[in-house]
Amino acid sequence: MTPYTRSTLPEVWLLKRILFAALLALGIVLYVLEGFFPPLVPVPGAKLGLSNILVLFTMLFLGSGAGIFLAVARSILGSFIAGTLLAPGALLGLAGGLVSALVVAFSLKRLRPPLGLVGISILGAIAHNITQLAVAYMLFVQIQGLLYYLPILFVLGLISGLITGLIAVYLFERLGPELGLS
Amino acid sequence: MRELVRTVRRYLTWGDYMLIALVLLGASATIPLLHKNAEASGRWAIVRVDGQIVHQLPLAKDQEVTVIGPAGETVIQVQGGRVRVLRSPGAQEICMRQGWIHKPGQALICLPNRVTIEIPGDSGIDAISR
Repeated sequence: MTPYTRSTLPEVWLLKRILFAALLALGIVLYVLEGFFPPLVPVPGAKLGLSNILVLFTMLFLGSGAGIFLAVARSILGSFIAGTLLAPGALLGLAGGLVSALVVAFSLKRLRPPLGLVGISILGAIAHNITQLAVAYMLFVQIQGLLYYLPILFVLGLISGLITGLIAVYLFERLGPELGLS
Repeated sequence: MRELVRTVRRYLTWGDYMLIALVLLGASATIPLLHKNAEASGRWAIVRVDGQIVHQLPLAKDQEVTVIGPAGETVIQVQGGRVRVLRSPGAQEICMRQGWIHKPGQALICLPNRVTIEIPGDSGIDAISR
């Protein structure tokens, strides 16, 4: 692929569409595949969030708007394909994904000198977990005991954000120069 | 392995390290606090007189409750996630000598006054049949 910079060439526009479609497809696949595996830790809603790599990636290559759109589309289409669209978990995933994408978009713009991509990924994962818990608390179970998951969710967000962040940096380092956007 | 560590360290900025430290610190600071509350929260002591439920006392809330049975007054105290009988009529004072209970499945029984205090268990047969 020839390197390109920001321009209004139709080819570039087309390339960006194609890249977005491919990233969204990958995000959906990761989202659905991840749902097949039993949770690694016995905490409801805890998962690695591999498809968040794609969100971060999309934001870096195509802008924050595209990344947020990808996060939402991935949650809806992913749970549609997995057959859990109307299950309560899908709504939690959607809310978590949206807030997480917003946090990542903000920190990419404002917090990037002190934080690196890994730190931003950790912030996103924690935002994802906290949002899920908050929505679950508001909509489904008003048990105070739910709040005791909070420190656990912080640490789990830290771990999963660290892993997905490291993968994202690795990919970015390898693919960034290739796509002319490092 | 050494290669991996070097790569990982190259990927992290000082801000990332600060964030990780901050999250770990915050989480570990809240764990003991929450753990203490988590034990007591969501658990109740069910007080019955003659088999009828008269009170459901949350163990998270310190309080004293007096119930009237056929033989007189029984005073029940909840404190720090535990429950005991302070005073109850009866020659042997068995339920007072039972002391504090706090585990699911435990019960205090003041037979002369027909008062029982039970912490419903969420383990064993009950959980399976539920």
